[in-house]
Amino acid sequence: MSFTAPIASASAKELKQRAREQKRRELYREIRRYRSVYPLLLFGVAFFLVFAYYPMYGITLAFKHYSIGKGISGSDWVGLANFTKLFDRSEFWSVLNNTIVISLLKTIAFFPAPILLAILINEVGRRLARTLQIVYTLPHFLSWVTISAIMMNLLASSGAVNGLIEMLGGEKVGFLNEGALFRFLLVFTEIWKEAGWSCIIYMAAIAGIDQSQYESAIIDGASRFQKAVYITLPSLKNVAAILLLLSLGNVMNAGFDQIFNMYNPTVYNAADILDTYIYRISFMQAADYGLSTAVGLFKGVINCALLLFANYIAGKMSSESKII
Amino acid sequence: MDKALSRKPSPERRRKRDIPKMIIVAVLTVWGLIVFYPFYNSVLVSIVPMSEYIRQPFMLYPPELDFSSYKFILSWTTLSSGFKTTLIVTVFGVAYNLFLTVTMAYALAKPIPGRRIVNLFVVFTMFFQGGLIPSFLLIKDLGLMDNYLAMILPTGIGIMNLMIMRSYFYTIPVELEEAARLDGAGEFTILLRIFMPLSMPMLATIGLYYCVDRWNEWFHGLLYMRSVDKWPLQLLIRNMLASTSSITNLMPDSVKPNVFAQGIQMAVVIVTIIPVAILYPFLQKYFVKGLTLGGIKG
Repeated sequence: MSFTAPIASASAKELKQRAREQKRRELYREIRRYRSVYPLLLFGVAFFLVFAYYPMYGITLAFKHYSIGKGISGSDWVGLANFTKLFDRSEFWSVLNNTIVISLLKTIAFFPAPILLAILINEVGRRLARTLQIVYTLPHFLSWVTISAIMMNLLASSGAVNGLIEMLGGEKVGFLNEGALFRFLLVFTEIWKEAGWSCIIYMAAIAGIDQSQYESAIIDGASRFQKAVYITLPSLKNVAAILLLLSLGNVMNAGFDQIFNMYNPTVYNAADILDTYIYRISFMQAADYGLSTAVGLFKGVINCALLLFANYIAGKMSSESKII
Repeated sequence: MDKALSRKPSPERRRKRDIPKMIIVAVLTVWGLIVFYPFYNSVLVSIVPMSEYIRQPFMLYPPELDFSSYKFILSWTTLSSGFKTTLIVTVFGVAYNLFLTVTMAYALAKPIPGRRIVNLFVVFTMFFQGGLIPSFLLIKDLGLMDNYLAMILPTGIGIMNLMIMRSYFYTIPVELEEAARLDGAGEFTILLRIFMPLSMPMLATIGLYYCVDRWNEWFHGLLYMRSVDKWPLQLLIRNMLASTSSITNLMPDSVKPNVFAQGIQMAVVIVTIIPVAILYPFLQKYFVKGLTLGGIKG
């Protein structure tokens, strides 16, 4: 017995090696078979290498003191100095707080809007639904520059809304200059711009519901409301949960385009978020590339962790929604 | 006769059934008006004379028509250069986007060894990015400051568009390409002659997505373009809002008394929205297709 063991293990080793060789030969064969496909991959890979991966190398600036003459690689290492400097700034904590608060406000207020719209649109005739949808989704295709131009004109102290308020005998409201109102405005314009577009996903989910469920509910005498609550809503549960999860995963992105184009110094303390702060310390105040890269890295790492976590949970709920 | 009568609900029943629906239609219409009104207001501001706007900025209809805002922007050369820039960025940018997306989607749709690694390599960039300063320094080091390429090159592949395109390519039957291969066609030929003609609806969809992004481009312009005559439209609008005096200073004296900053701003905004607003209702089905195909991942 003691002799057979080493022999058996030797042959097992041999078998394993043969299998590995076989596999490698198969791999080579496959690569040869598709060798003409690889060149097509090169363009995309080159794009990602240059414009996505090379900038990741630039993150080393977070640990350096950037000097223009020396470039990224030549600048001196300073360890964690940029981070200690950052954490000592009280404005950083207020910016971080703004980012999270604005994100959460938007997520919570936005979440039910497209679901409600989808359920309501589903109740009206096709032609009306189509017309409404064209109106609802148009803002999605415009930039925040355009939208904020329109909104700021509407809500400025000399704008139409304040004109109406005065006409009705009220006092002018500083929508763009009062912190709390401005945050409300951010949430409202987000819903205004994107709810109509988001609702299409839910409408697709509603279209996929088995019609016989509704038919038997009608026979049982269910009302319109009961059908919505007991049939439609439960079938939107998965889609809704995943969308909510993904927006929570994006909590560090409170909406740069929107805020950057709408805010002004009077609302910095309520609306300045990490991304706008990064822009300002990079290009507007005395530029400090090391410091702003450090803010970017701080944000990027937390964002990445949250996204991976959201992706993991979403994957547990349904394998289709998993990205990695 | 009996049948016709029984199909028609009695008046009481009909009214009872209609009330909830009327409420729903009312709610949806009110939301529609809320979405529509800001646009309508912008149109009004752009077509009334300054005196009317100052007297009462809230209007339901234009009390008096005055197109001097539009007359002014027609003669404003910076704006026409903005249009030129945006057109250049859109045309070449979308071509660049589509080329990169389609070639990569084609390669990844084949069962090539290593596609998992490449997939991960691509998707990782959604989770983590280099950030503002490293990207800015890259463009600077490449010597692309003030070059149109700085607005075109950095946005190449939208990962969702790549995935949508790839899953569409999966659906194209292998037999078609095998026949072409037997005739000696190379990969580029197969992609160009077989895959692309068969995926026209999908190409239109992602092409439109890219078009919208390019048309709305402003941030790369802000970062990289030093000369005002190379700014895209959106950046001009942004700058106009930040400093209204910069426009009024540009005004020729002949129009000065009639035009006002808000009117000009809204006229420019309307002019940039018009192409999107006109095309959009016709193209809506393509946009929606992309969203539902990308599904949750969009």
